[in-house]
Amino acid sequence: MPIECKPNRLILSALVDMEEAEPLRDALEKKPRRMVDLSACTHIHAAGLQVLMAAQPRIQAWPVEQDLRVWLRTSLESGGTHR
Amino acid sequence: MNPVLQQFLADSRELAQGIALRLLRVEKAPDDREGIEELFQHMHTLHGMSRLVHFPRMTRILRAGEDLLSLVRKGDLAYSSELATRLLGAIECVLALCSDIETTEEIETSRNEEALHMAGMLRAMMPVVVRRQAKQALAFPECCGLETPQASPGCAPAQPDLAALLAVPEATRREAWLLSRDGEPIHWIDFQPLSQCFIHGDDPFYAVRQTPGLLWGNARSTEAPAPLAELDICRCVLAFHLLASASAEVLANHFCSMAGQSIVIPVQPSWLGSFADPPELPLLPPAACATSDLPTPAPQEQTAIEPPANDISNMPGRRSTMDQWRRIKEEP
Repeated sequence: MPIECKPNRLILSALVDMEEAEPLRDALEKKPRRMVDLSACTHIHAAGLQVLMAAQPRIQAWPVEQDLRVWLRTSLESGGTHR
Repeated sequence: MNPVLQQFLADSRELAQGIALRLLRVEKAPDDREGIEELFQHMHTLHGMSRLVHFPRMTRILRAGEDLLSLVRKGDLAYSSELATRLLGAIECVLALCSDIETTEEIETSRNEEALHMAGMLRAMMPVVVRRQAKQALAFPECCGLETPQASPGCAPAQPDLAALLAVPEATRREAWLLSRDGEPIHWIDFQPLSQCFIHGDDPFYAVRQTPGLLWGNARSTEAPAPLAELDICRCVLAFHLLASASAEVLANHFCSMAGQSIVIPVQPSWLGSFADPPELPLLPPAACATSDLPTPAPQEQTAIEPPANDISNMPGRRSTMDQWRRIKEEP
């Protein structure tokens, strides 16, 4: 499963497709303090990305894949700048 | 190879084989409405998949094939052995493109030309009136041609959001400056996907990650923060800033297949700001150095790629697994 909900941790792995965006939003809404582990994630659909940007969760681990790590850090750490 | 491409190759081959078998079946029984419907659905699905992975030339062939079969399906064009032969040729071309992608994750340039030719051959089979309508309605496949993108008439002088450009990490700006000094084109891209692009099956984040010559990219929200519960999953509220070292034509070709608006602006070296640790001056002959220590900026031009009009808004969404595509096909 691309999304695994642990009591205090949300693990996103491999390809997180559009279908996962809603469960991701619901999981983060239910427990906003839950940490997110992205280490095994290789891609996240734009719909999931905008959920992460809106939720601004605490990231426990960034993706191992460098390209995605840079993208996510740049996009999430800027706070999903609104223009 | 990334998993999305692997999945695409496996599924597209299966669909292409399905199309080839049905083409032969319908050739023997041109009144087989069910067979024609299946053919159209297969072609539509394969076309959608190719858009998802952004191989515009492949998309162009498949779009032409889908348009042809749509006419056959509506009874506006008779199914003939010539039509079957051309569609089979198109499918063979798509399979050859898949082999290229499997080997190099790209499509050979010579094959690109073949693909364009093949798409033209398919479109040539359409009745003239329909061809004109298609050209007016479908901005997207036409803009994937070989034409060099032209600046939009009356557009404002092209300049990126300099504050956003200067927010790019210094190391990346420095790399861009050095590439520019060596004569490589540097472009700033402002890409705003259509808010309905998810419904079309697009993943703009995947698309921007595949930008040719990408040096840096950033996603931002186009709307003010709202409670998470109010976030509409099906509506895209993202926009992207990208810095890439690729020609305007290559970038226009990449972005033209996406539902949204892209503005591609050539970056002048002076816009890249100053560096705490200035790059070494180029090791050029004295005459060259005397002329300028910076590369000659490209003439300013702005390429605006308009969203495809009436493109696939009436089509069901496309997802990344075969089962999901099959499910879509069953939708009315």
